[in-house]
Parts: sequence; C-alpha cells; structure tokens
Amino acid sequence: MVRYRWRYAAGFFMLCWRSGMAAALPYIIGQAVDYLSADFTVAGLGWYAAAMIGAAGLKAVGQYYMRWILITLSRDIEYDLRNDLSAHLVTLPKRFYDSYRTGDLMARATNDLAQVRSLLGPGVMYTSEIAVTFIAVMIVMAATDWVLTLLIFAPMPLVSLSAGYFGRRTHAQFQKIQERFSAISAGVQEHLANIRMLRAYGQGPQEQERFRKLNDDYLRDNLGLIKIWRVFYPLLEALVGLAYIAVLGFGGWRVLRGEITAGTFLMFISFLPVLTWPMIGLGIVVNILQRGTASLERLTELMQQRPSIADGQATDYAIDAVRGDIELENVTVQYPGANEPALKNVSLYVPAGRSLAIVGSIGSGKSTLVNLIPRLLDPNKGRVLIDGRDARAVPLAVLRRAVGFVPQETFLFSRSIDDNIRLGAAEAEQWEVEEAVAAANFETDVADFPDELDTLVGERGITLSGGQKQRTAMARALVRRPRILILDDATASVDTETEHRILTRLQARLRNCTTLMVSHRVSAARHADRIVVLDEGRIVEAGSHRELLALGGLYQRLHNRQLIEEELAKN
Amino acid sequence: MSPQRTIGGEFARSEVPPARVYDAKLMRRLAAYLRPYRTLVGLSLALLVMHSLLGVTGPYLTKVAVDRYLQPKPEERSPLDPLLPEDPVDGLIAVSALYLAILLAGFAARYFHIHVMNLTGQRTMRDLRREIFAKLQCLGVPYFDRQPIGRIVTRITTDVDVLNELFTSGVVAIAGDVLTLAFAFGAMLYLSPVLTLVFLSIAPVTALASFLFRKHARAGFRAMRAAVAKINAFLQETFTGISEIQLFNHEQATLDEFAAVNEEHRQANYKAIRAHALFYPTIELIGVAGLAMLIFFGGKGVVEGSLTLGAVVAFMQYGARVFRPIQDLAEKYNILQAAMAGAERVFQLLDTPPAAAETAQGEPGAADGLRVEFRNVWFAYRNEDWVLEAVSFTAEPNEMLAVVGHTGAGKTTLVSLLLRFYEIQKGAILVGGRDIRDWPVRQLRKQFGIVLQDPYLFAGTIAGNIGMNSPDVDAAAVRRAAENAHLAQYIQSLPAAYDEPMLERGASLSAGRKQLVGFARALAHGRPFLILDEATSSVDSETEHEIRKTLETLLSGRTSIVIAHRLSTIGRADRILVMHKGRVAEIGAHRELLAKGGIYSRLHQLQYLSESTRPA
Repeated sequence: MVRYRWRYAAGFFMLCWRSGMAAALPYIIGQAVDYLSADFTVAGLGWYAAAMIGAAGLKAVGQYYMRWILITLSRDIEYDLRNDLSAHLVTLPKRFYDSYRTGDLMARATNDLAQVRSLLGPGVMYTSEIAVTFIAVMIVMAATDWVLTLLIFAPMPLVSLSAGYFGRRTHAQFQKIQERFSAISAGVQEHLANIRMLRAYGQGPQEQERFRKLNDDYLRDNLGLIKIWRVFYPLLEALVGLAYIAVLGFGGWRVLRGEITAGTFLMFISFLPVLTWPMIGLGIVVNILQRGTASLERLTELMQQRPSIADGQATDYAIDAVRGDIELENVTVQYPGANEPALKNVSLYVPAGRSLAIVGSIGSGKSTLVNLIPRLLDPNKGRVLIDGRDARAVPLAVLRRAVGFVPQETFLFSRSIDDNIRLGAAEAEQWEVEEAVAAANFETDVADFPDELDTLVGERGITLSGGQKQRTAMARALVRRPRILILDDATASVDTETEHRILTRLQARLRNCTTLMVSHRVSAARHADRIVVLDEGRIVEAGSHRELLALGGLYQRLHNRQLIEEELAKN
Repeated sequence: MSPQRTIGGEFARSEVPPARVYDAKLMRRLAAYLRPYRTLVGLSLALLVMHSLLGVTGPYLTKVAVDRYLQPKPEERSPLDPLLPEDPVDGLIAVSALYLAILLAGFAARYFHIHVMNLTGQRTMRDLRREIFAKLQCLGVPYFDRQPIGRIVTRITTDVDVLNELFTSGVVAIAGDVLTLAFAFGAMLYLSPVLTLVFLSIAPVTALASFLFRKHARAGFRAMRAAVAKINAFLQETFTGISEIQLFNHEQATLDEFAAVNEEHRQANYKAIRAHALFYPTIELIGVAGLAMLIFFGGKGVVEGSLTLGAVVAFMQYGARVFRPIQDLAEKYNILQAAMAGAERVFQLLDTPPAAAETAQGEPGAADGLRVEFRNVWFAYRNEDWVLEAVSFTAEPNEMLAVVGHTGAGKTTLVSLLLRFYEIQKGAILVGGRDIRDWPVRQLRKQFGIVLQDPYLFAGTIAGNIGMNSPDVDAAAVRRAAENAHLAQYIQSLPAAYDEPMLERGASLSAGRKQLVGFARALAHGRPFLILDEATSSVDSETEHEIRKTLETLLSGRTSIVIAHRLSTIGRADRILVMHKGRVAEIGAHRELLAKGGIYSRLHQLQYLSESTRPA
C-alpha cells in the first residue's frame, strides 16, 4: 500500500475538507435558527442562506474530489492487485490447480478481489468520513454547549462495542454462508456431471432430497445472518433516536431553566441529521470491513502459495539450449493424499534424438512419467537429468521452450486455430504453421473449416472433435521445433489408420528430436527405438518390440489385444 | 441481502445486461413467486409503512415541544394538546416519553420488518432453486450435452441470489423510500402548504440531475458489465489452460493480454466513478439550496406571523430526510439492472421445453418377460449423421449378449437408447415386450441394473454408494450385495465398516474395488435386466479373480447386455453381437459365428493367440 500513500493523503485531505464543511453547515443552520428565534431581519436571513449555499458548494467540491481520488485509487489498486494475482497464479504448478477447483479460483479472483477493493476504497473512505465527521461535529457542538454534547455522545462507546460484536458475528456467519454456497455449487456440479448414471438408477427423488437439504442449510445460515442484522440495524437507528430524546428532554429542560437559549437548543436539533447518516453508515461500513477482511484472508491464502516449481538457487542461467538427452535416476513420485507412489524407483535413459515408447494400463504411471520432463511435476525422490544436468539446473523457460508436449486431453483457447497453434510461438512464419498442420495430418480438416486457419474455436466458432483437437495440439507442439517431443497418448482419439499416417509423417520430420511416446496401443509403440512397460508405477519390461514379444509377458498380452481391436476396425 | 457472487466465465456470452431496467412482464412473473408468502409480504409492507410513519413523527414532536413549551405560541394548537400537561417540565417529560415510545415501536417495526422481509426473500429464493433443480430433472440428456455445466450451476446459484437482492434491497427498499418521501411530504403539507411549494421548487432540478446521472451511469454500467464478463472469461480460460500456458512459455503474453482487459475494466469504472462523484454532491448541494430557501422563506413567515419557529425547524428536518433516498437511487438502479438480467437468464432455463422422454407418463404395468428387442433402429445425434443404421437384434430372456466392436461402432449408443436418454428417429425398441415409449420412463429405467466403466462414486458412505439411498434397498440388501460382490471382507476391515466415508469419485479405492462397488450396486438393486460396460483396462490381478466371480453371480437369472472388452467375458456369452460402423455385422452363438468365417472367426484366431498367453 506504500506506493499509494500520496494519493491516500490527497484523498484524506479532501475528506477532511468535506467533513469540515459538513460540520460547518449545520453550524450555520444552527446559527440561522438561533437568529430566527431572537429578533431578526429578512436581509440578515438572506446572508445566512447565502452562507449555507456557499458552504454546501465548498463541501460539494471537496466531496467530488474525495470520491474521485479515493475511489479511482481503489480501482487502481484493484487493477494492480488483479495483475499481481494473475502474475502469481501463472507461476503456480499443476499440483496447485489440481487442489483448487476452478470455480473456487474464479470466485477468489473476482468476487473476493471486489470485496477487498470495497474495503480499500469505500471502506476506508466511509470509515474516515464517519470518524472525521464525528470529531468535527463534536468539536462544533462542544464549543456551543459541552454538557449537551457529552450527553449526546455518551452512547458512543456502546455503538462501537456493538459494531465490534456484530461485526465479528457477521464475519463468522458470512464464512459459513460462503461454505454453504460452495456446497450448493459443488452439489449441482456433481449432479450434472453424473446425470446419466443418476437417471439410469432413477435417482431423481433422492437427488432432489439431497439438493433440498443443501438448499435448506443455505437458507438456515442466511437467516442466521439476518438474526444479527435485524438487531444491529434498528439498534443503530435507535441510538440516533436516543440522541434526539436527550436533546429534546434534557436540552429543553435547560432552556426552561435558562441555562441555554432556545436557539442553541434548535441548533442541536439541526445537528442531529448530520449524525444520522454516519450512524446508519456505520452498519454498512462494518459490513464492508468484515467482508473485505474475510476476502482478504482468502486472497492472501492464494498469494502465499509458493511456486514449488520455479527457477531458484540450483538454476544455472548459463544454460540456454537443450540437446535432448533424458535420464531418470531412481525416480519416485507420490501424489499428496495417495497411499501408493505413482512411480517407484524408475530409472531410464534416452539419448538425444532417439525415441522411447511407454506402454501400460490406465493408472500405471505413464502420464506421471512424462510430466516430469517439462517439470510439470518434480520427483519426490531421485533425479531427472537433461543433457546430464539436473533438470532443476536448466532455466524453466529454456527447458519448456525445448519441449513440445501433446497431452491426453488438450485445452484449446476460444480463439482462432492459428492462434492456438502459435501458442507460445507467436513469431512463427505462416509456412511453418502450415507445415506443422500438414505434419499433424490436419490439413484436410482445416481446409474444410469455414475460415480455414482463422476459424474460431469454441462456442462462438466451431466445435472440434476429439481427433481434431489432438491434431491441433500436435501442430501446436511441432510449430515450436522442439528438441524433445512428448506424446501423451496423443493419438487415442484417431483411428489406427490415421495414427499410422501421423506417426509416419512425424518420423520423417523428427529425425533428430528426442521422442517420448505414451500409448495404450502397441501399434503406435512398435516403431520406437525402445519400449518400456509400466505396471503399478514400476518398469516391468524394457526392450525393443521384438525382444518384448519374445519375452511373452505383459507387452505381448497388450499386443494381442491390440490385434483384435485392429481386426474389428478393418473392413 | 446476500452478497453478489460471480462464478464461471460464461459471462462473456450471456451476462450482457438487457436494455431495460424495468420489464413489466418479468416483474409480474417474479411477483408470482411471492404469492405463497402473501401474508408475509403483506406483513412486511405493513411494518414498512409503520416504520416510515413512525420515522416522520420525530420532527413533529420537536415542533410541538418548541411551540408549546420552549417558545410558547398559545394560538398554535396541535392534536396532541389534550394529551400534554400544562407545566413545561412535565410537558417536556411527556414529549420525551412519547418520543421514546415511538422509538421503541420503530425499533420493533424495523426488527420485524428486516426479519419478515428477508425470510420472504430467502424462502422465495429457496423455492426458485428447487424449481430450477426440479426443472433440470425433466430436461433430457441432449440438453446437458449442449450446455456447459458451469453455466447451469451459475443459474441455480448466483443468478438466484441476485433475484433475492432485487426483492430485499431493490423493490422493498424503493417502496420504503417512496413511503418516507410521501410521509415527509404529507407532514410538510400539513405544517405549511406554502413552504412545501417553496421546497418543491427544487424538484425539477433534482429530476434533471437524476436523469443525467442515469444516462451516464447506464453507459458506464454496461461497459463495466462487459469488462467484467471479459475478465471472467479470460480468467476461466487461463485457469483451465494453465498447463498449456506454462508448457508453451505463454505466461508473459497471457499477462499482457490480461492487463489490457483489466485496463478496459478500469477505464469503464472511471466513467462510473465520475458519474457517482458528480451525482452525490450535486444532489446534496441542491438539498442545501432547498434548506436555505426554507430558512429564508420560513423566517419571513415567522416575521409575518404565518409560521411558528417550531414549524420551520421541523420543516428543515423533513427536508433533510428527503434527500437520502434520492441519493440512494444510484445504488438501487444497479441492483435492478443486475436483477433483471439474472431473471431473464433464470426464466430462459425454466422455459426450456421439457424433454418428452423424461416426462413420458406411459402406461404403468410390468414387463412381460425379459426380452429386449431392437427393431430396425435408426439414430443420429445430429441431423442425418447416422450413428446406428437399421439395427435389429434381440436379447432373449436370461441370455447374456456380448456386444463387440471397435471404438465408435455404436456400442455405447445402444445403451443410451435402451435407457431412453435419446429418442430414436426410426424403428422401435422393446423391453419386456413393450415399446420403451409406452413405459413410464422412470419405471423403464428401474428395470435395469447398470455398471459403467467408471462407476459413479460420490462423496458419502460406502453403504450409501451401494444402496444409493434408494428406498427399496435396505441395509440388509446392501450387506448381501457386498458379500456377493466379495467386498464384505474388505469393508469390515475399514475403521467405520459400512459407514466408512468415501471421497468424491471414490479416489481412495483401487480401480478394481471401484468396479466391485459398481457390481455390488447393481446386485443390491436386483433389477431384471443388466447393462454392463466392461472396463477396458486390466485391473490388478488381486481383484481380477473376484471380479470374475461376481460377474458370474450378476449374470445369472438376468437378461444382460454386456459391452465386452475382455476375451474371458466374450467367451462366457450366450450370443455375440458384432457391431461395425453403426450396423449389426454378425450375431449368433460362438460356434455359429465361427462357422460363418466372418469378422468374429478372424477375431477368434487372435483371441486364441491372446488367451493362450494369459496367466490362468
């Protein structure tokens, strides 16, 4: 917040100006009323009226600049916070994104950020405005009659106590409500994601019952918040009313005793509306402050997540290129919360320019293994070596620049296909993109799209099939001319024939590129220089296609099953 | 009064606010949701009237105190006179006591008003959520194929919350403001019609200022919503595509683009801030001008004897009260606009015509036998891209029919059609001798036990996952099913046995055990037909044996359609249906198909090869 201190100071100055005028105004009004209650002339009244308008004009100017400075300031802080937050978030590893639901992250980056903005803008502004106005009014009042002033402000400690008490309760209740709200979202989300199974088992009534419970819980906790508010808000109003009674009863009594004039009495009466708004505003301020701090906690939690995978002390910035030698040394990976490691003591070596296929059943650790190379994941034990150096020594940007990764399920941004292919390679020439498209066996599909490469993907454009998505991802990986190409079951959504065509073209193109190829299909793996078979996180077989077939183990069984599939697909 | 929340990134497409703030049709429809609570709404309004009325009595009491006791004007009478003692001190006490009583009544009115109003709002919201959820139950599976889940979740959560805000902070607050204004003006008219007219002379200026503000605010508000939508969409994509962004060194470019969107949002806000910063002081300035006129003309009235001092002071207090509601207009305007947009989206969902399949009443009645028949079935998800072409076959009672075919041959579609998730275009499907379109859809689905590749396991207990909280599956049935699925021993070994909590998607179970839970579920529900989509991957050898044995139990006494991947499963089938590119290529018993020398016989040779190398 340090960088904004001068603007806060300027805003605070305008705030004092505005509040000073706000206190002067009832003083003038009071004087006018005092003047009215004695002998007076209409001309004199005109002066008072003019003074009022003058003070109000000055107040308006102060108020305008106060709002303008402080609120734009809060928007600027919001802008910076949001940029900082996103800059921080893009450095966080996949593991972080696995543990937070997207909806939750969205809520924090939008809703919570907005609450914090309210805290730093209107929250700060109203709090100081109320405080300064109170003090200014108190000074003006005390100068007129301190006894009555004391009486009016006597309930103030009570006000701040109750604001504190209700504020804490609001805070706690509000957190409960947030959780209930998340539960409803998650419940509906789960329901929709499994709609077929639920329909098949006729779960409609049970699901409605489950939803009814979530819904009722949310209602109950919201009513809990209302239980707080229904006391707090009227209480603030009532306290203002008490001030009225104090002035009316005690002030009136003093007028009768001749201790103060009727004019002073009326002046106090006209001060009270000025106090009304701060009192009511106090309720709003408490709300803003409590929500803002609750949200700040949620944001801080994100900002305190350290990027576990980043350049650090081990980084050797002299490394500016990667040749493509890959070695795994006794690597063990265990996901948090999992009972068993996903990879157990895996060692392997792939010389630069050679290819390795990794086969195995679902959950055997294939994807985990390839995620280690571009450091989407770091091993718990053992080392990953790139060109003989620990992967942690290679600057992350250099390492990833050298890797072309085609994931199992690719994500396409709602932009043109061209933009999607150029992701992270904006400088690529048009012919390079076209070449990559051709290498991915995607050119005939692209030619059929309404705007060819400029066709938009996603809801405002066309929806790509699984196979088309995978080939876009492949072109995306190829256009950056990687030293290391990783195909994580990248041909699962195309038929074996297309797969064959893609792999042949790739081979022609990738003669000196290290290739890691995860596949559940033997047909894709058989052409690799070497094949490893993973089972429950261990390498159980390794060798060439021929050697493994001769071994008569897991690989051979997979191979035979594959032949059946192929036979079925054939005409 | 619940907080506004934003979730998901679909705002870019659907969050653009409508042009109108007030839409009579929408309002009428929204009002209908209050009908069940009309007593509460009436009460709420009565309390609101009471609270506003009590609120305007204060200045009048001051006036009475001034004119009767502090600067006595004997000629000035008030309706309160008979109640008030002559002695000034007693009189002041009486007025103060009266004030206190009114204050307490006001407190009570406000307390109950807040309670009743929010109770109504929250209940209405709950009803609307229930209605939406119930509506989802009668929408067909194709609807869910088209709509992103996040969008539907937003409808039922955020959008409904906004509607609550419309009721509590929007409509009711506006009603309260209008009442306060009306009562204050009433009191002013009662005190002095002339002075009221003087005060009202500022009304046109106020109206003009409000009009100008609304014009600017609307533009700023729209730009803001659009910018927020962009930010949300951008964040959503960034979070979902984070791996791609990191892998492809796209971080900096992403941040640059985000900064641009963020800047757009900031600029839109600047406009709105300027409008607000101008509007609030302007209204206040106008208000003070009004007060100055009151003092001037009121003072003149006092000199001329047409007004009392107390009346002028009371007048000024009323004048001060009139301006807060006008200033708050800005706030309420935003709420109204957001709420109207939310209402439109919610009603759009509610107006989606229900799927005929999901609401089919059919003729109640039992299955006549256990036969399943497809008669010349044609089906396409879209237009005429046929996924199934002229498919005809039968599964005889108690028969196990294995369906084999390559990926995309239409195996899974067969299952979806059988359960009537989609409507076929041509032909007929008969279950138990009845066309599925004649079955009440719920009853139809109750005929099937279903085990899918990835059994849907939800957060809850293990017993809950087997019994699925169905009323017709009791604890004993769950235990029996667990025993028959060879799960009982494992479950007993868990700390809480059958009440052991399970993580979402059964994350704590191995793949094999998940499958067994799926089997146990089908066993527990004891349905006459079975649909089994066998898992493609081999499971650990530990559970492989148990799965085979459970399958045996599951298949006996049922008509089963099994999408088979494993050779051992195909070998057990009574007949085999070979699907090829949406058509039935071959169907028959193992021997028949072998003799035929078609696809299946070629397969068998490979199978033999494969099976022979399989460990026993």
